[in-house]
Amino acid sequence: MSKNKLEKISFPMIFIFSLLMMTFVYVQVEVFDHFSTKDLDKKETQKEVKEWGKIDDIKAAKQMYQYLDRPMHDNNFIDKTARQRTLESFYELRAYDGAPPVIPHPVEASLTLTGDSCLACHENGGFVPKFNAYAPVVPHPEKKSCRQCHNPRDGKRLFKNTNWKKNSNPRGVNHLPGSPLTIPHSIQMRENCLSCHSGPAAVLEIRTTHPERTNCLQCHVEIKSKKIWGEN
Amino acid sequence: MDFDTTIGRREFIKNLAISSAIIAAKAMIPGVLFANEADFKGLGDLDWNKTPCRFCGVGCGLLVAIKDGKAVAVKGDPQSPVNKGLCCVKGYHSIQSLYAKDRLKSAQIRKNGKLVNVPLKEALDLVASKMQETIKKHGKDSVSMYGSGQWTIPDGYIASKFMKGAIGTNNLEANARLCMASAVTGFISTFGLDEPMGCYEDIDYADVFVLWGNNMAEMHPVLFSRILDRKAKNRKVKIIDLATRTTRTSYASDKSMLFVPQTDLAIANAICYEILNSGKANFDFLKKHVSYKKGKTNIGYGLEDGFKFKDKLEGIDLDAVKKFLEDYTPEKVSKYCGVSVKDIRYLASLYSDPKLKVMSLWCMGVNQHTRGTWMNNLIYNIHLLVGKISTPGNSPFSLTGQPSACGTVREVGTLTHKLPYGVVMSEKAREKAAKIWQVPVSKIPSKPTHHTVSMFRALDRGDIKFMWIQVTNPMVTMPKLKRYRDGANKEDRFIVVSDIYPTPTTEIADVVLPSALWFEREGMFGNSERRTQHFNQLVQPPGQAMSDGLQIMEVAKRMGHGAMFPWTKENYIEKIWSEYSQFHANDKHSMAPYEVLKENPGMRWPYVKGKETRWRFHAKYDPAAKGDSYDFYGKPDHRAWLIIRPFEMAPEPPNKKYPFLLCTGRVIEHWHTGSMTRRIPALHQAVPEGYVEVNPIDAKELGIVNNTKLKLSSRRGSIVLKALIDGRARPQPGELFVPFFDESLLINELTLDAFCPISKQPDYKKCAVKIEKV
Repeated sequence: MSKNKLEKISFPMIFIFSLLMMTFVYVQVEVFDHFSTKDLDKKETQKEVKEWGKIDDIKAAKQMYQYLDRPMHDNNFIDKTARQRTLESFYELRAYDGAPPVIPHPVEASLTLTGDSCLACHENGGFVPKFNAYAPVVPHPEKKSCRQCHNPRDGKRLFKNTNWKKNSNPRGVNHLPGSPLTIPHSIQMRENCLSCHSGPAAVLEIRTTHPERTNCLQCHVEIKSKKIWGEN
Repeated sequence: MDFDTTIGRREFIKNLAISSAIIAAKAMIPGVLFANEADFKGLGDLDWNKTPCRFCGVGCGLLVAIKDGKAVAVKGDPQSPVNKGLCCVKGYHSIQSLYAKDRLKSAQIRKNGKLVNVPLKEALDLVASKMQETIKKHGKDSVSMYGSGQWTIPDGYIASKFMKGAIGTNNLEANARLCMASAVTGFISTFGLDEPMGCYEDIDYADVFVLWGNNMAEMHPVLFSRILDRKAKNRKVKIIDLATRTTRTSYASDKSMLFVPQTDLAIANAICYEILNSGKANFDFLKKHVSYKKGKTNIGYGLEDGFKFKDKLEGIDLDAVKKFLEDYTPEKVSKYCGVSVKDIRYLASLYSDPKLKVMSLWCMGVNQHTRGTWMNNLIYNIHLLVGKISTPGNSPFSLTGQPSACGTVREVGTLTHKLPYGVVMSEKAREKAAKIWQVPVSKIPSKPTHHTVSMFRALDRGDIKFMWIQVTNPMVTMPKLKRYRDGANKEDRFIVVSDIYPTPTTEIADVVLPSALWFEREGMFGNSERRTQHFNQLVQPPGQAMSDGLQIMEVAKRMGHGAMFPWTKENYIEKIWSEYSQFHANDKHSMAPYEVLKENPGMRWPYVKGKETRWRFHAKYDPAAKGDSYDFYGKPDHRAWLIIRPFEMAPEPPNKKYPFLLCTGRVIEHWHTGSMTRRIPALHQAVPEGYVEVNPIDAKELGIVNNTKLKLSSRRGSIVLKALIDGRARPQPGELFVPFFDESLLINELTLDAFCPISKQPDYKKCAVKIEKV
């Protein structure tokens, strides 16, 4: 939409439209409230959610429900004095969106498979005084051979320079005004949305405003690529 | 759950209402615009294409995202039955190996000692004329080609047809000789046919995994995760790590048993003794499906030029086997192998328990062994004694190191004695090749010439004057490196190297040809479980780079062999596949058609009547097997051969002057000589340089701490490395471990070029060295 076109829209029109919109939304909320919350008590709602998780065998959905009792589920659980991750520092650890991040902190001798020692912090998250930060939560704690994909860095020097350019980072888009954002990245290995999008260790810019709404895929759909081998 | 769902929901909806109203209103206000949609596409504008991983022999299926003609992202292919969507750190970063700044884009010719860029045509002309001139002057056997298990199948096929069919010399070898040769001779001597009878699905059925000198957590990480997954789902599953060094694999195992290097031969025999002696052998299976043989003993180490050895197998009976095994009671063996009597008995009980399905896995520890063939035979002996083979979960499984060691080197047969079907010594095999290649049978020589070590020795002596090296880096990987580097640098030797980056091998080259890498061209790889995987060309190769196969075809045309390679750049992969498939057109080895490979995440041969074969040698699963159960049709008597093999010492045991035993190998981050992985930032930064692992006891005694500089010397050379103590793995006292990926710290200056006399595969795991602090 170009600027010129927009300028032709008169102010009263905007006012009327906004008024209409707000009325519409208000009515919707009241109606929804009436039907959805009136006769349901807390326990029943919980049961409903849990059973859903069991019935739905799509891995993504399963993963989403698995972590309902984790602290990352609660956005109030944030200590603003702790070091916060930003999107920039998040992507700095990844060769491209979806690449396994490198381990940014020193790790002790890696004789073991490390599953247990990594997961001590990264399975449920929590505050780590040593780094004055909350540990990010791994979206796939069932994989125990962490060093299969994640490695610490021993310096940042290169062997030879590279022409590799990182593809621009994905950003969600709402296709209609106010519609839920689409998921702009593959959720393979990242089926647990909340591990990155909620909780005290989540990157500020991509925290969800509503972590309690556990069924993410109900409103947010994954944008499929135009061509995926084997799928079309 | 202690949050209030109902209130959350209510608030959420209200919030949503307000925010959507704001967004709606905002959209109407001039100056606030929707962001450009192009920025918001995310992954929507990427093409995801399948390809097998370019690194190890597991053959994971990858999905590679292409944008604007460049690879930009990787994920595991969820449709691939090999890895089911999971990769390792190398796989995830693999595409970055295409884009380092020093990528070779132009052909180079050495002029006045310096490599200078020339047009590709000039370089190809020179290679062809030099090759022709050498043949004219010194005969056909003065030219040679040295390739790799990273050749695609069509490239290997072109090389074989060119060397054996067009030129008429058996001077064709591949680096798989350094990595899989003992596995091949093991299969051939026991079963008569190469490659595993089982497949990766065995992992999903087995109850016990015995890893023979195999650090799977680092070397075959995705398969190891599959084992861990199996274990997580079934608590009775056990992993036994039988090794010479404590590794991540040991820590992930239920039991780690450390043995003295080379005594694995005795341990395997002790397990056999225990199985037979306790009466737990499967005598019914033995009676129906096994015959007993013995081979030559005291067979040497191939250290001298012109070394020749041919094994001879004689039939024996079960009593002779029992008598032979009397030297290997657990009590006797335990005295020198380092594993307790109890542990040997425990291993035997796991193998012989009829309720347990057992999978043995091994790779370089068993193969890079001066008795590598024997070790392969002995593991099969154990499985044959208890009849645990060729059925789901019961599987002696030889793992592979390179993406197409099986597909190219072993199946196409790019080795001196091999043809795509059979061996050159067989008249029938030569006739078949001559017919398909449309050359006179007399063109294909009937005698094998040089295996790899012998070929480089011949280059040093001057029997070979011309060598064309493709997709491999022998000036990092040859044992006793100095001799072979000096040999290659001699005055009248002519070396052509096809590669993608400058390496120590391009340093000895007279001509360098730039190659297309991986999905910069179309091709196929064949992995450890007989799976052939096709990949399309996804991006353009840089500059003049072209596939290794096309380079050979161009030279062949210039030498007058154009009629044998009548294909075009567009169709040669498809045409070669249909020509090559003729060699294997039988129920024992038939290959899936081109179209099927293109549309599937790989297919396992024998591919018969539209179906792949998961387990060979059993009538239930294998269309080539006759009868109602096992049929080891590779041997004339339709039986598997149990061959007794004794324990013999390694050629260079430590002594007072050289008190340490040196083992070399890999790390998870680096692939072989690091020419690709070191150019990948995340991998190089994880392990930027070579090091030497020292046992903490030795370190304490010698006053060594982390990063102490140590001079390692063997009888052949010395290098200085930094010490690493308990960083990644722990060798036993008296042992050292050095990875070989670092081209500036060439550990192979120290290694010994002793090899298994049967397979001719060198032993990189045992040579005597001393250490000094510097």
